[in-house]
Order: sequence, then structure tokens, then C-alpha cells
Amino acid sequence: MHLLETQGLRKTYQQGKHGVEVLRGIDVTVEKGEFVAVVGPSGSGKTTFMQLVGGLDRPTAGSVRLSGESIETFSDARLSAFRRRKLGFVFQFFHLLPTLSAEENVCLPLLLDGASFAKVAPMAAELLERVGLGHRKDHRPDQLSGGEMQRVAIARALIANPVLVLADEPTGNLDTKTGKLVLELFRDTVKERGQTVIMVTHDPRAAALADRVIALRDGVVETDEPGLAKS
Amino acid sequence: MIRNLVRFAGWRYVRQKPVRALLTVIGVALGVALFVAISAINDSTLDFFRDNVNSMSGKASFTVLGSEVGFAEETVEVVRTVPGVQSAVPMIENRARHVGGKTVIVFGIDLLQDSAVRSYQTEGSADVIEDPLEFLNQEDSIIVTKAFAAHHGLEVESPIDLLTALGQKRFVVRGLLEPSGAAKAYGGGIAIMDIDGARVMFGKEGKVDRIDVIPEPDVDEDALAARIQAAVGSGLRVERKENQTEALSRMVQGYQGILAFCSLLALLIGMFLVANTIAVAVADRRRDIAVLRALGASRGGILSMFVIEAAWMGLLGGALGVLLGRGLAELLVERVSASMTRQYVTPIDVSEIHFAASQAVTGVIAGMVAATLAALWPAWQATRVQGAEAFGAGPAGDRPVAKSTRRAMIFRLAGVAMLAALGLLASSGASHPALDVLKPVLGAVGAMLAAPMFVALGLRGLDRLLHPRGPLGRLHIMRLACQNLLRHPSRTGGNVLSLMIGLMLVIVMAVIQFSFKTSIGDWNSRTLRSDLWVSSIGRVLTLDVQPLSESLAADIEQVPGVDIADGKGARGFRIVHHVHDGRQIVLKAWERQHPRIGNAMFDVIDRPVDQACSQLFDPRTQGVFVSQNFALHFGKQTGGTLELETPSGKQRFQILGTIVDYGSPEGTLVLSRDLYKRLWRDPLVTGFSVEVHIGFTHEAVRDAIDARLGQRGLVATMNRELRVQFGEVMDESFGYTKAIEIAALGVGLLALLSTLLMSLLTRMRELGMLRAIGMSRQQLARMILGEAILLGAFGGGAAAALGIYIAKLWVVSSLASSLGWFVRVHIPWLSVATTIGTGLVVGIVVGLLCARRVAALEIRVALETS
Repeated sequence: MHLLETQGLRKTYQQGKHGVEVLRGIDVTVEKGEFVAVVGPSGSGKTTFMQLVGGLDRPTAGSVRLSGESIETFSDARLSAFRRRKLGFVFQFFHLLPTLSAEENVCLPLLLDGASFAKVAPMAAELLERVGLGHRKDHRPDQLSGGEMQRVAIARALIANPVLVLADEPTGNLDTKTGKLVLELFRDTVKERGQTVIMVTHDPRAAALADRVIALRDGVVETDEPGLAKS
Repeated sequence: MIRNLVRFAGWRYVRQKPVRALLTVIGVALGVALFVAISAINDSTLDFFRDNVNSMSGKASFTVLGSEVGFAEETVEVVRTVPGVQSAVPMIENRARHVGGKTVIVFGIDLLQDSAVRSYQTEGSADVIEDPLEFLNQEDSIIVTKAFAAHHGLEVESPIDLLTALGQKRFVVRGLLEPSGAAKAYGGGIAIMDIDGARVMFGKEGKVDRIDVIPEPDVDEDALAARIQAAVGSGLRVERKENQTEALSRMVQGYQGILAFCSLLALLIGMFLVANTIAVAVADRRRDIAVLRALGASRGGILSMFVIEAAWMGLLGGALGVLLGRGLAELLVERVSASMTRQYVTPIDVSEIHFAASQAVTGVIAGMVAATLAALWPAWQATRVQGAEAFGAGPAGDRPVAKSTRRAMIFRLAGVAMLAALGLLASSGASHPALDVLKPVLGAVGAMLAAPMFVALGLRGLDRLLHPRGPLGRLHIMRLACQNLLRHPSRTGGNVLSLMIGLMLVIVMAVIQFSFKTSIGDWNSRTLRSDLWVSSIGRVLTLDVQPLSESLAADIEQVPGVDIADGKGARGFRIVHHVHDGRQIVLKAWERQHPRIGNAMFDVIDRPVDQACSQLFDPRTQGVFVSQNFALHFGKQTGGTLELETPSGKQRFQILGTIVDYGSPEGTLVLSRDLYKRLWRDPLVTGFSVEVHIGFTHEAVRDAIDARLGQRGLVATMNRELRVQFGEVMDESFGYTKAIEIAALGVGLLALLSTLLMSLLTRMRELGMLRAIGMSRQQLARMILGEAILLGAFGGGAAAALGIYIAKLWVVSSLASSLGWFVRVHIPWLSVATTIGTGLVVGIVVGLLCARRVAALEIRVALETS
């Protein structure tokens, strides 16, 4: 069984009286432990693909099977719980809560799931240690650099030990050097934990770190090839 | 450029968000409505005084006035003989209760002379006035206005029963007056009878209440007034029409000031609402503003776009507010006049609202100016948006926690300083008209500036409790809500403030009302001790009764069960108004009470009551007790002396003690009835106090008095019933405040709704992120609801704390100096709790509305929001 399998995935947005078809039938499978980069020019549909896979939006047609479950049929509450427990997100703009410390930000998905802070905090500390921020766990986002914030966001994405981590341009808001360091850390961390990643990017250097690169153009898969890391 | 910006950017946006614009217009309208209504009522009250004086004075240039009990009729001849006087016309003016109807002011006029001063136009039986002799031949003749007749279903030859000093008497309507001339006085609630008949009926034999003077042509009126004053002596006042109006206006100035202050507060809340709406618009259109800036729009253009938008909303809100205000004024006027009538124990019957075009224009301008001023700050914030923001979404959610800027700190400290200054001013007891204006301003502005600080302190305390390692550490959603509020202390403070002002107004009014009610209630319990009170039908507490002949005491004493002690069963008391140094005070004349009551009814605060009373009732001593407010207003104290003008000339009195008394806002004097009767030449009584003989029940004796004397218009009231009456009077006195409270709460709710929506709009992406990482719709809704509840709770809490503080200072200092009431502070904890609860309910309602909206948020859209 594939970890992720999309079949005939379509998405059309209504703009005024006209519909804009962003995805026009995507059939993709991803196996456990794969690090997949989704690339393509602006408007190719890569972010929409990620949102559908992450249950942030619902397809117009087709299905998304994740860990054997068709998530497009889930109710909103079940989908929210699924995102908390099975998915991790890393955003371009980090999206940390400015009022919480690094440690609290990392704990947030599990706290929302009803876990106690006492139980979650050691896991968060371990992850922060892993991303090199053990000494900054009590700092708030405004006391961290961009690279540090993204590392906190990576730790947050991994805290629930998700089956799939979705990253949307994780280096898009970082300078080249920091971006490279953060991305390598990200890849190494997920690899050693055996986690699966789908990363949307239009940075070829980021894509070069992936096991596999799926290129989208005009809402369809243009190429699906092993990445430089694999080859 | 500005025109195009408004046309193509501003107006289009407003059209896209009609509900938000409408809510703001309604908020401004409510504020303006209250402002316009209060201003119309205040102006109409002054018009009422002016119309009354004009209707009553007619062609007269001066009026000679004395106290409520009248003055010797010989004075008329004295005035007539003053060189330069063409005619001097006497009148008896008596407030009489129409049995089964409203109070009517009966004018006793000299039919042969009165037309020289006043005009009367009758309908139906015009010959009655034109042929006075026929009118005089019929002793029971009375003429009423058409309005009064219509209200009571009367016509010519109808009988009408009035309460007189001799009890209930039947009169016959001989004519109906058209609403012109003197018939317009007191809103048409007048009746006319012959002066001699009126004297007999109302116990004013040998007296007149006023003399209207017409000077000869080309006489120097100032010199003439001085000559008349010299002739009548200092015990009487010679007043021009305008002086009479001014005196009445001065009397109600403090009361009107408080009303005006409340209406300004409502307008201020309306301003908050506009400021919030414009701030929401700025937040909502940040990207658009950036694009406009990138395309070359100047900062001035952006500023003007928002200010013009606000001015339009102000204009519409103002216009709507004027219409609403007019209706509100009509709704409130009766209650406000009833309240002023109780407060000043003077008939103030403003039944008609005079709504001038200038008031409408002022209302609209007030709405526009308030909205424009309110928009300036958020509009200026809009000018700070850079064109570069048009090129990308930029990071969101990682905005640092807003630090208290130096400016904000200065504002907050200034607020605390103002509140402290208010406390110092109040405790110093300093009194000056300017300070009376300054104190509420300090309180309101100080509270507004300091509120964000208090709220932030409270939220920080709560945040500690909600910390994951704190005692409430498992309430993660609540903590997120708390932290969201802490993130922008100024915005949170503003949100709380918008609700707080409305609730604070409610609490200030509740504390003042409760303090009044409790203080006066306690005082009543201490002083009104007699078993029964006998008076004419009416409400003896508000002096809304016909003074009675003292001879009725003998009839009361005949009733079985009336306890006779020291040879007396019914002890008369007289309560009248008296003008002292240009201010209307109250005189209370008591007889020595039944031994069972003793002196306990006199609430003397600065010496032993028995000692003071033995002097008061000693026929060799000419002394009085003064109330606390009298002592304050006239600078008197126990042990000193006091000169009063009486119908027997100027008299000196010893001040035998200072008492607690709520008879008049200007001051009350208590003296023995024997002394009063002698010096004021007034044998009438306001009522009688009666004790019930042991072995009889109060009910039985009350019923027996009613059975025997009821047909004569007398009624007995048990002490218990008097207390119920007191509660009714208090409720009536403060009845009008309910509408003000509801309007203030309504504007507060709208303001909170608008501000919370704004705070949500500015963090859409963050909300989207929370949903993305697994927060369910329900959790998100709970978080928003939590924020709203916290805002409501803090709004209610801050309103309670500051409202109690300001009300306390007001009750302790301003009420004494501006309204003349020495009231002890009593906190209505139940009302305070209800108000905090109302804040919470408002928060929950607003939270539910916002939560519903946010729960429907599409994650994808939220994440893409700039």
C-alpha cells in the first residue's frame, strides 16, 4: 500500500462567472520515507496540490488516499484531527505564534489534541535540541532569526511524528546560505526519523536535495523523476 | 486626486461592506440621538420656564413675589401707590389635585383687573369673563383650559372635584379657555377662579401669591423696580420676566449638566465605533492602500479618503440620530420632567419638545465632527502603509509582541495621574464650579487612558495562571485567546474601552441611584416614625398634596384608635418652599411629637438630639436646625445665627443643630410649627402625624380615618405604605436613566463587535495556520469566543472598578456641590454583578457572531491573506 495515492485529482476555482481549472487530473503515489519535491512555474498548481494533499482544501474531483484513508470524504472535525496527528506543515513564512515560546510553539499541535504540556514538553525539547535550538527553547519568535524560526517550525511539524510532512517553499523567506543549512537539517532530520516529505519549491537547489522531483505544468504532471539525491 | 480616490476606492469599498457601514452609522446615530434628545429636553425645559413666566406675567414688566405661603394683600395697595405704577394686579396661585385626575394649577384672579395684565380667550361661554359679576355670583365657578377639559372629559357645566384646604370641594366648569395667553402656562394644566373664592378654598385669607406690575409709559423701569422694592421691603422680590426664567434655569443647571455629560459619553462611544470601523477598513484594505501608494496616491490623499468616508458615515449617522433623538426626547421628556419635579419639588411639566432647526443642524454637525475626529488616527495609520507592501504578502504571524511604546506609556501614566488627581480633589473637599466640571472630565478621560494598563495587568495575571506549567495549564485554547489579547495591549485596551465606557455609565448611574435610594431610605427609616400620616389625597412624600386647614386635626382625633397624648392626637406639620438669598430652600415646621416618637425623628448630627430639640421647641428661643447642604451652601454652622425674610419682616434665628435632610437640594430649615405659624402667618398644614393607640391595629385606624374623612379628600397612609411610596418615587426619579443606559450599552456592543472583527481581520493568516496545523473549527470558535468573553469580562470588571471609583467621588463631592445632596456611598453589588454579567453576555454575543464567521474560514484563503 502506498503512503499517498492521488487519483484523478482535479481542482477548479470559481472566479466570478468563470471557473479556473488549477489541477487537471493528478495521479501520484508516494512511498513511506520518500523526500519528494514538487516543482513548477507559478500557476502550475503545486501549492494547490499540496493543499489538497494536506486536507486544507477539498478536490473538485478525484481522491486523496493517505495511509489508506480517503481524506476528501472526512468531516471537517475528522480532517482537523487528522492534520494534528498525521500531518506536519512547514510554511514559507514560518507562521509561529508570536506570543508563545519556541518550546510552546513546537508543542502546539499536540496541545490542541488535548495532550498535557508536561507530557509533550520533553519531546519538544528533544526536537529543538535536534534542530540546534535546545538553548533557545524559551525564546519567543521575535527573539529568533529567520533561520531559527524556520527550524522551530520544522520541529513543530515533526512533534506529532506525522506520516507525512508538507513543506511549502520552506527556504523561500531565507537567504541562500541559511536556506541551504535549514534545508539540509530538515532533510537529515526527517530521514533519520524515517518520515515522508512533500516539499513544494521552485528553487532548483532545494529540489536537488530530494529523492524524487515531480514537475507540474498547467495542472498536470509534466515529469516525475528521481532527484539528484537519489541518483 | 482625492475625489477620484474617494469615488473609485473609498466608496466602492463601502458598497462592498454595507453591513459594517450600516452598523457604524447606527452607532453614531445612537450617540447623536442621545446627545440631541438630552439637548432638546434641556432646551425645552428652559423654554417651558420662559413660556410659563411669559404667560403668567402677560403685559407686566415686573412681578412681586414672596414665598410659597403668600404675603399680605395690603401689599397690593402699597405697590399701587408707588409713583410710576400704572396697575398692580394680585393673583393667588395654588397647586390643587383634581380628584381622580392630574394636578391643576388654580389661579385666583381679580376678574375686574386681571385683563390689564393677562388675556383669557374663552369658548362657549365668552360672557363669563366678559361679565365678571355673573361669575362672581356663582361661588363654585371655575374655568379650565380646553386641553384640561378634553383630557378629563369635561365640558361647560360639568362638575369637577378639587382638593382644597377644607377637603374635597365640588366646582362647576363655567367656561373653557383657548390655549393662548395665561392658559398656556404649565402646559395648559390650569384653572381660573375668583381670587376671593380661591383665598378661602386654599387657606390664603388676606394673602396674595404674586402682584404683576404694569408701569406707566416712559417710566425708567429700573428706577421703578428699585422704588417698588423699597416700598415692599426686603422680604419680597421684585423680578423681571428674564430674572424669573434665569432663576429657574439656575435651579436645574446641575441636573441638566449631568444629563448633558451622559449624552456626551454616548457620543464618545460612537466616536470609538467610527475609529474602530476605519481601523478595520485600513486593516482590511492594507494591500489596496499599498497598491494605491505604489500607483502614486499621496499620503494626504489616503488620509482624506478615510476621513471623508468617516465624515459621510458621521453625516448619515448624525441625520439618523437627529430623527431618533427627536423620538427619544418625546419618550424621555415626561420622565425627565417628573424626575426634576421630584428633585426640586417644583412643578416642571415639559410636555412639549421644542425641536429647533438649529438643534437638528447641531446634531448632524456633531455626528460629522465626531466621526471625522475619530477617523483621524486610523486614517493617519493608513498613510504609513508603504507602496512596497503591494509586492508581496510578507511574513505574517511572526510579528513581535507589541511593546508598550513610550507614547502609550505616557498616555497610560497620564490616565493614572488624572484618576489620582481626581481622588485628591475629591478628598480635599475643594468646591468650585470649574472643579465640578473638571472632576467628571478627569474621571472619564483618566479612566479611558488608564484602562489599557489595568486590562493588560489583569491579562498578564491570567496568562500566568494559564501558562502550561500554571494551575490552569490545560486550558490551551483559553491561553491562546488570552495571549492574542496581550499581543496588542493598545488594541485590546481599545476594545475593552469601547464596552467599558457604556458599562461604566451604567454603573455610575446605578451607584448614584442606589446611594440616593439607600441614604434617603435610611434617613426615612430614622425620621419617619409615626404610625400613620394623614394628608389630602396625593403623595405626601413629594409634597404633591393640598395643604390643609389645621382645624381638621380635631376631626382626626375623633377617630377611635387615634392615640391622644399631651392633649393631641394629630400633630400638624408644614413643609413649604422659601427663597433665601436667591435660592429656593425648604422650611419644615414640626410640632412636638408623640412621646413614643420623641425627638428621634430629628437626625441631628452635631449635638445631643434631646438638648437641641428642647431648644427648638422652647417658645423663648427663635431657632432652627439647618441641613448639611444648607450649611454648605450658605456657610452656616451650629451655634451661629441666620437671618430670614418672613412675612413678619426680617428675623434672626439661632442655629441649634445640623441635621441630615433630603428635603431640598439647596437646603432645609427645621423649626417649631408654633414659631413658623407666628412668623409666616400660615396656619395651614401639609399633613398630620398620628400614633395608633395600643390595642388597635394600624390598618384598622387607617381604615377608620379613610371611612370618616375620605369623602372630604383626606387619606391616611401607614408607615409601611409610605416606604412603598418612597420606592415608587425613587424609581420615577431615575426612570429616565434606563433609556440612557440601554443606548450606551447598544453603542458599546456595536463597538466591541467592530473592534473584535478588526482584530480577526488582521490575523487571518495566523488563524489559517492554526487550522492548518490541526485546530478544529470548534477549537477556533472557542478561542475567538474566549477572546470575546475575556474582553467582556475585563470590560465589565474595569467598568465596575472605575465606575465605582468615579461614582464614589461624584457622590462624595460633586453631588453635594452640584446638586446639593449629601449622600453616603452605597454600592449596589447586585447591579454591579449584573453589569459585569451584561459585559460577559455582550462579549459572548459578539464572540458567537465572530466565531461563526471565523469558523467558516477557508484555510487556503486565510493562508493567502495579506
